[in-house]
Amino acid sequence: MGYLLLGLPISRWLAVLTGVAVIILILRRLPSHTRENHIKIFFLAPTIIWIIGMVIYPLIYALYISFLNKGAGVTTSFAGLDNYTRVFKDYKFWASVRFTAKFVAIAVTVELGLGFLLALLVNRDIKAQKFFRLVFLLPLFTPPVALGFLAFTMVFESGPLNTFLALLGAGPVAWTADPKIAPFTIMLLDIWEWTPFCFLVILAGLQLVPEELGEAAYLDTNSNFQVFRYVTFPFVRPAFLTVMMLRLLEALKLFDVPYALTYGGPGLATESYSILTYKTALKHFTLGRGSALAILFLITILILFSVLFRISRFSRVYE
Amino acid sequence: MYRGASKKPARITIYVVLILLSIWAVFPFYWVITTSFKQPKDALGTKLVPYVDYQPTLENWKQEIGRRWPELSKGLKNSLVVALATSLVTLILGSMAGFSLARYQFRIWNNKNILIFFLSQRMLPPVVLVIPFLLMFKAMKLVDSQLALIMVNTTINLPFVVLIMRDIFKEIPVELDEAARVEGCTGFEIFYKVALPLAGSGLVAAGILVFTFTWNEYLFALSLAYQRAITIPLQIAGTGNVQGIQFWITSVRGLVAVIPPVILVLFVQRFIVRGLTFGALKG
Repeated sequence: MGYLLLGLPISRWLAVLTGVAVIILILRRLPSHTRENHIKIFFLAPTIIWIIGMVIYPLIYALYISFLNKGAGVTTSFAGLDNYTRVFKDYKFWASVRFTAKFVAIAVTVELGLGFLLALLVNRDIKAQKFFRLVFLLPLFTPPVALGFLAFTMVFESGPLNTFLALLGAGPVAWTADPKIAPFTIMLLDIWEWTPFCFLVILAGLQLVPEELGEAAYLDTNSNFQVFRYVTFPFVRPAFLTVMMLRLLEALKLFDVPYALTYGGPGLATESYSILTYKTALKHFTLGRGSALAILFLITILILFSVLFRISRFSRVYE
Repeated sequence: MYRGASKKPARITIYVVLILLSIWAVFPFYWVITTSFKQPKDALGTKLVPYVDYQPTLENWKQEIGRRWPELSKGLKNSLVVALATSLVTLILGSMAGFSLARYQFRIWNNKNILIFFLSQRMLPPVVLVIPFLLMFKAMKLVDSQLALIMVNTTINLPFVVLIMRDIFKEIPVELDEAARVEGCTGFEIFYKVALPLAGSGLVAAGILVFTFTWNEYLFALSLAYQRAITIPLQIAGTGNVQGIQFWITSVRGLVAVIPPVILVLFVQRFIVRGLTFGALKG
């Protein structure tokens, strides 16, 4: 084996480096006008090759596996659409879809709504802006898995959250043990983590609205709602759309926090789609079915977001 | 009364809202920091104020930083190596691609389509790649190696860096490129002698964001690292034992894991809103 660097033997590092060096030498030997004419391709090519090798190829591979009977203790064989039909008959699949959908709908709505409301309340030049921005960004840069585990210290039976509730005269809540409440605990954590960020982005958008414009519009229409609808919102729109897309995407991928806090439980109450896929593949080692779950996830997200892109004309944000 | 954009809300409302929101954001940190200084018997109640409610102790920190340091330092070292290498590779590849998209026009596939292609990478749920990556790295004998984690994190973060670097290069006046071309610079020289130094601060900021994302990454570390390549998020997850979670130890490790990203974020906080929205917004 010899000496390992980052887990790869030195001999293989040398082989890789020689390959790269040869490519660079060949490129340098090209006539300079050819090189200059195609330079944009040389700049872009490494990234495109990387993505083909590390994204496109693995996706095709996953699609291939999803048609196989593959896993621990089974000889690999062709399964046709078996993996897919079994997934649809699996109650775990539907439970995870329900939880994920509920989570995305509630958490993202609350984050955006609360963020927007707070931004409207605070829309003004603020002193100590740097300080507040830093404070609001703190939750975002906590490792989510630390958030999941440390949430334990907040929500256990005699923890601060229940003590606070007791002050208000409410009974103790079984934050993670009650399957009816556990999903909301996960949402609460997500809302804690992301509301400040939504607030910051939307505030940045609000501060683009010229003051005179709002005033003039108010004189004309005499309606706060109309000013909001036709003057304020168009300015905030790109910010709002961006943060909405971002939150929807990240929320759909939910994994770290429930995996650390509840491991998908109690029962299946907080088993998100990502957790189900992960467990199917790496805990039960049913790779075929795990791949089928993954491919279904990918297709759903692609359809969902191409529709959303179309409706919101999101790509305009990039022009 | 008009409360939209022109009539500004009262100053007092603003600060009440801001302070409440700050408490909301900061209280969990306060709680975790104090828990890390509690004895096991104190960690299980709601004891808020040190010296009044409970007697703080350095025992947990001594234990983690002292006796168990060899274990914890392995995770820290791996996280550091993986995060630094990932930042480096994504910055090299991403700034080249970003420069290409900012400065040149592509014809067969126009620039906007290439951008949307990179953007669409962000939609890919990471869990979709877990199975193929596991099998690929098994075939390459790279499971449980730092290199595997570097490659995976590079893949996840590369599209983000391309988008953000394109945005940064767009802001550098194109006249500088032309001047350099007149001086006889080749395309590649313009990139690394003119554009790259001017993009310095953006480069650092993008690097710090990638560093943080990689530092916090859990799913792929969980599926590809078991022992040798174990990272700090995995070690936080490893604090449970037969008696259940040891809050006080979890708190110490959690804080050790939080500190590097938070310090780095201090340096680039102005850039973050813009960075996290892929340059769609100037924060």
